[in-house]
Amino acid sequence: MIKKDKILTILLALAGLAGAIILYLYKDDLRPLRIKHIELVKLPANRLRFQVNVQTTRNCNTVLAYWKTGTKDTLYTKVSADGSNHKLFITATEGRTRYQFKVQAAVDGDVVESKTYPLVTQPIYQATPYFTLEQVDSALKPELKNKYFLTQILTEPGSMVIIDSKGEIVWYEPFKKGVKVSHWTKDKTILAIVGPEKIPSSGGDEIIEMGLDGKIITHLKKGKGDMDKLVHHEVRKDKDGNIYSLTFTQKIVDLSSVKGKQQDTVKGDGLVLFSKAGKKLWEWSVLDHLDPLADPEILKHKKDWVHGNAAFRLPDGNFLMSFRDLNQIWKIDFKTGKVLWKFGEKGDMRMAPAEYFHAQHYIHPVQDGNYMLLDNGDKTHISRAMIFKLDEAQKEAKALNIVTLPPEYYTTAKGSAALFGKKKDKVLFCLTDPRSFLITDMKGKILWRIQVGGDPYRLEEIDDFLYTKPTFK
Amino acid sequence: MKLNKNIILLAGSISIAALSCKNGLKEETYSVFDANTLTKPANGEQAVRGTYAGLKDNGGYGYYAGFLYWLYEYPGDVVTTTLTARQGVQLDQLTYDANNATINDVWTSIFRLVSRANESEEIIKNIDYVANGSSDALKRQHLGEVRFLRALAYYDATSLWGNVPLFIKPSSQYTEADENPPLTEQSKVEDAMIADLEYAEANLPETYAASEVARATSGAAKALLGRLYMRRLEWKKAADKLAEVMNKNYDLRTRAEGGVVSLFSRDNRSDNEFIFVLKSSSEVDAYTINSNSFGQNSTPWDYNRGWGNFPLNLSFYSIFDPADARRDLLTGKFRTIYGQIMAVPKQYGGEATAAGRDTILATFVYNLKYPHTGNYNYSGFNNVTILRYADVLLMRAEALNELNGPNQESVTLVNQIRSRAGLTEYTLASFGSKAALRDAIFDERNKEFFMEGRRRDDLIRWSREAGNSPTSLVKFKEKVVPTLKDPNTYSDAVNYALYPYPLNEIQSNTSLNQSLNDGRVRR
Repeated sequence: MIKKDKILTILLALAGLAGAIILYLYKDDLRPLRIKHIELVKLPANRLRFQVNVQTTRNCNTVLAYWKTGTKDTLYTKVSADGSNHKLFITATEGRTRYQFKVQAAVDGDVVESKTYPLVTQPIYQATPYFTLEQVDSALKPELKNKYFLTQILTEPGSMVIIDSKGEIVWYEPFKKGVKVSHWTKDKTILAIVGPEKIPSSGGDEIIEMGLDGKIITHLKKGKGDMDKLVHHEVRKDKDGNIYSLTFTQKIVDLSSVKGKQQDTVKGDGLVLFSKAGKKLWEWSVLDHLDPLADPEILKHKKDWVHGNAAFRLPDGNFLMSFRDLNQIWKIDFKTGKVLWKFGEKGDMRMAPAEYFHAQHYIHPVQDGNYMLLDNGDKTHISRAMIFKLDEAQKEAKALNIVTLPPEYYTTAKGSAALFGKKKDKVLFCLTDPRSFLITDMKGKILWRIQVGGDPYRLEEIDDFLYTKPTFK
Repeated sequence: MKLNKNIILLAGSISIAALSCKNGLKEETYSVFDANTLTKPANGEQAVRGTYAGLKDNGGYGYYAGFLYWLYEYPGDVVTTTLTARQGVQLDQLTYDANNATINDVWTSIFRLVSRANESEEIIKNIDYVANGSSDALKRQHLGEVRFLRALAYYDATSLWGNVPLFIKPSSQYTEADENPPLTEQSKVEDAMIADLEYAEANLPETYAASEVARATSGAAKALLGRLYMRRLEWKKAADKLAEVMNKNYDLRTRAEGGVVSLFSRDNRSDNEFIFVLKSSSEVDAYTINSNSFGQNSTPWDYNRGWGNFPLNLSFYSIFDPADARRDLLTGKFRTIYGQIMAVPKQYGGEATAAGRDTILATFVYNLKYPHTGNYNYSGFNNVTILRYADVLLMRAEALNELNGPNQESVTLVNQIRSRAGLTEYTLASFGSKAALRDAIFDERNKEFFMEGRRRDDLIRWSREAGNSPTSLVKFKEKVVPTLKDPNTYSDAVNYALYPYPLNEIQSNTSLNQSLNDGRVRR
């Protein structure tokens, strides 16, 4: 017994030593998780975005937690997964504010935390105009928590801008050109049309998709690859992640019968669909579906006929498209290119004349298969949000909700209106001429108002701007 | 088994020790990389140079490269315009309004320079020169230079508009209210200028190495401060401050050196009569970025294919004694590029008696202070005089006369200028009154400094002295009205000492409104 014990003891001692040697040799993988170095990077190009480089002793996941000094509301960065050299991006801060931050690292149930470091943000006066909260109804405040809004500066220099519910800018990206329209995607990215001021009709020569960390994910440029036309007014992603936009198209038409040229040029609008890689998948032109000679004033209108200003690809793959000068919304069959129906004044659907809309914007589907738009109100000089139920079989359109704004909020052009709130019982407006962002109830009572120091084009609600707290165990 | 447990523990602790010895003692480290922060003295030097560049505001016609002198010279009685330059004609004929593009251009240039100075001051303040192998003296010099330039910009702003927005902080300290800055009382603006200039005179070097031409010296700060005290009619302060510039590093270019005419030669751009000038580059490519427009604009087409945008009234030629060397800086008589002789008519002191086959009677004279080589050479690289020693002497002469009446030192100072020009000297006995010596000094200034941007300031100051009132325009009116095409253009309801605020500024700055221009333009 004793002998056996001795042998066992020696064997165990040897095993222990071997273990120590193995541990020493493979220390990088097996030694305790520790944060070696943290570097805060401040770059002049953007005063609200900060890169933090983190080195750890072992491959692990890291995240950065930050909060305004003296408060408990903690924000998080996106998690950087499985590495020992991490780049974390602080993407939601206000200018001129003191923050503190710390880094957490985790692997295999082991969690370590860095010391706390300070971060002071600078003012961002140079890139954007101001957004001033003028009014907020206290009953709305719970619903505004963690709500953010995407808008854009369309003049030069332009900007993508995200504000919080108090009008504080929390994220922006400046451009030398104007940002004509922007869209928050399901992938937590911002999609925008960028172009010089001299391109009219909210048009641009670039489509840019950018992450909150400032990385450009997709960049389409006119004249490069498959993008052969300027785009305007609208850029979105469909459910497969393809990018679609409105285009300017033109066609040579014989207008001699109305005193035009035999070979006259009529300019209209089209749709284009690009894959994520920028390959053109599909395109469509209104000039293939409308007869210019049906417009008695075609010579006057030929430079910007019908003026398309919004599009939306529906889950069935077909497109909605809004034409300002026709006061109509069309549904376009993706497979055949045929116009399935025209809805609005002089369209295919029976409508009460009081429900005609004029110079409308921002057509999009809402719940129950209904459609919503902003009626700018070119005829009445009253702007309103309208939700329609369409009976395609009976060819009938009926307004379910009309939210009418006071006359001082009339906007001749541009703008947007969308449902807002958990119960979708409020409306979020962007009104360009009065330079206002509004939230109203369904009766039009103003609950929240932000005044803008510039001309906004569109406003979108973002409810997933912040990264949620990761579960590090 | 007890032993076994111990051994396992031992083995385990060896393993842990093997790791912890190596790593457990190391602290987590932290660093900040901030590309917004400029930390090296070389960055301070860049900031200073960038601020100097604001003097020409992109070159060509910008600020001191051109348009500023339109505002300073056209409204006066010497320089007039050709009919083709509408913005200039408005200034010349006193028919300008808040829409005048040149007025707007100078306003924006001035505030761009102010802004550059403010940003540079902040950058320099935050750089640790000593820890980066340089010296605190250089840091103070850099601060002195940008503060001198800021004071110069505000000198122009207050000369042209009186009350103006006062910005002496960098944009990082702007509040929302600063987006629409209100006007600050001129006296408050001048307090800030005096603080800047006193800092500059205390911290700028007296001279620079030859390679560092055109940088502001302590003498430049003193001379500008003297000019400011003159404008404020503070004679004692002015006389004392100007005396500090005298007999040190500057002197008049003597007749032996070629005199006043050679002062303006392009080969003589570093003469120590120049206290502070706008320097430009002689490289052909410098046009629009590092040139000025004076050469091309000063002479007429017939002379050397210039554009003739600064014609001088013929009557100005007639005030010169033929012996006066400064008359040679005017085109009294020359052979045109087409071969004829162009000459000033006899009744204006010239040589031409009648027009003939080969003789053209000049209708204007042109200045030769900004010679250029012709052939459409746009890149004017003449010195644009901002402060020169002759001005210091004449200002001190004037201040002493205002303080004490006719006195020997004033007369001696004026005589330095006269004898350099080849004229006989005055005696104290020639002046029976303060007004008589004052008028002689302003006549001398007129002949000495034409087309150097001084005339408007001079006419206004002369008026205030002669009219014995800080708002009098008596001399301005007396001299300018006879040069107007329609004398009825002149209105006593308009204060020509103040330009209208540019409409662009009024429309974009909510703290301003149109009524601020009441009394500044004819309604």
